Amino acid sequence: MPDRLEEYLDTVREQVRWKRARDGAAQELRTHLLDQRDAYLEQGMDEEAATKESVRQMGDPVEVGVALDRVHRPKPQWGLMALVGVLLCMGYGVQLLLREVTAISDPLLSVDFYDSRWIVFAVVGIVVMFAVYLMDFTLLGKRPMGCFVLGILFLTVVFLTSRKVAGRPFEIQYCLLLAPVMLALLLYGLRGKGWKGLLVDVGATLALTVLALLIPNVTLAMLICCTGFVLLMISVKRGWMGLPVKKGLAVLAGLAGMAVLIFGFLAMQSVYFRRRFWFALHPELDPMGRGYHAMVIRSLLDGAQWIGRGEVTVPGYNPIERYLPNIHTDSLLTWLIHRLGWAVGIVVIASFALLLVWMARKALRQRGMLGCLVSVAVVSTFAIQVFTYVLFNLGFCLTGTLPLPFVSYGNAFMVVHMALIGLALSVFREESLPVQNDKMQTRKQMPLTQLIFWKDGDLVIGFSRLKQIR
Amino acid sequence: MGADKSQLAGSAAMLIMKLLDGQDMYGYQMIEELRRRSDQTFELKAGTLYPLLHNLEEKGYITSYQDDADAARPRKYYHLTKSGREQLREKQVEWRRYSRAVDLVMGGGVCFA
Repeated sequence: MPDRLEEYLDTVREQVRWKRARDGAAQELRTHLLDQRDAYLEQGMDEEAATKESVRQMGDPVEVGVALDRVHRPKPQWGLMALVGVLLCMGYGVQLLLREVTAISDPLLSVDFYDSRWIVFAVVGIVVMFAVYLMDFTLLGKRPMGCFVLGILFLTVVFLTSRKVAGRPFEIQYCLLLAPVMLALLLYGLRGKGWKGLLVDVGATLALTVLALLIPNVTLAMLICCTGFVLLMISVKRGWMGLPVKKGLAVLAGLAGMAVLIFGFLAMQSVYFRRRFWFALHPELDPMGRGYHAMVIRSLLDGAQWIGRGEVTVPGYNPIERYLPNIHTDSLLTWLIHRLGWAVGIVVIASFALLLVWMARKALRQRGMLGCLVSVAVVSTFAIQVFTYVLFNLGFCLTGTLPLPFVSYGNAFMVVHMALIGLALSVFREESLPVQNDKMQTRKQMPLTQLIFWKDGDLVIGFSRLKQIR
Repeated sequence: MGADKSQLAGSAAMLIMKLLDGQDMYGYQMIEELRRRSDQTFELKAGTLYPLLHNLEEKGYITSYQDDADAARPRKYYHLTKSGREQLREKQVEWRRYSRAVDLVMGGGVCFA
């Protein structure tokens, strides 16, 4: 009598307070009850007695439900949120301090021009972060390919309609920060698709990289390319692509090597890239041209104190606020080290390192494919951004830089950063949802004993299962 | 009593991990196998088993995957992870020490010499 089973399962479900965990938790119990009932039927019991006995065997439904409720609860991410809060407070403090820069570098603006806008977008960002955090991120996994195609259309439209700022389309730059998450969704949609899936993903990663190069923004291109590679590597390593792991990783390593060689060769062929690389290493060779920004940064860092305001070692760079470009956005860390000392700079860098390591550990621990890939995409995006920013601000200016998340002035960038962090937090919040299925895990992990086994004294070869694995 | 319960839960977790050490299994299979191997002594209730499995999965000692060969009755198989295997080894050492101590006390008066 299946009604009795359903009644039992309903009681269990009611005890689990997190609605989204209910079905996942109950599904397994249903299969068990049916197995148990069949076993009793085989022993000769009638259906009603068999159902009754299997329900009795399962134990008190309230107790079972309460025990499941204890395991499956949303995990609020207060710790990470507090850290983001600290970084935002730090950012606002820096923006207030930057009023003295505005007064000198942009005397026509009111001194609170930047910080008053910064705070508005920070508040919008916080609202967006909470909205994304409370959203069910698994909705993205319902139509991953659709989301990816929509994302591509959206980026194309933005690219074509972007305003040109300093000769480059502007809006597309912050929108492209969403590309790694799009690639995570694409990979999720391509799970189990083998070599064909791998090829499609590599093609999509290259296409998005080329889009960034068309801006041209080399930092963004590098960010997309590296993140795409990391995501693909994780998918192959965990068997989600349905490929032999070692062979898949070897092919990936080959592809990466080839990409580096081809890019290196092309870059070396181009006079522009060769000069750019050369001046990044030796900015002193062109102190008033290509090496200018790096030279100012290096001279400021040379004069920086451990704590307190540093000296300006080159008299021509005084007052520094007029000579160091883009202090509110790109050169903020250099200025901070010069203005307050190395100790403060190190605290800022360490805070970001803490955030990144904390998030990376959580991301790699995710059991579900979608959660793992989405959170790794977010962490890699932040990691590459922070890494290039710090390098740039320490005087190695090979590529331009993107704003420092949560600190730099950058209105829309701020909102995109907050949305991304909200997405990662949403994944971490839902990590204790019962894993429902990542079908392709079956391929890698189904052992031989489940294909060839003894049953009732017969040796059984499970051809139906074999078919499924292929 | 709380202490007894946690002791029981502790050894049930160890027994389950031991079962999974040999091969991946689904819940029903584990209960049957435990009963068979313990000579019909251990009758683990399914209602106890599943929360325990989900708990072990949460801790990363086991992982699960679904076999949809029978669409009406999808089976969730559990697999012992590397950290689960380490945990099992530790638990086994702990258990041997404990059971030896119990044996010493309980059988303390017996002398076979």
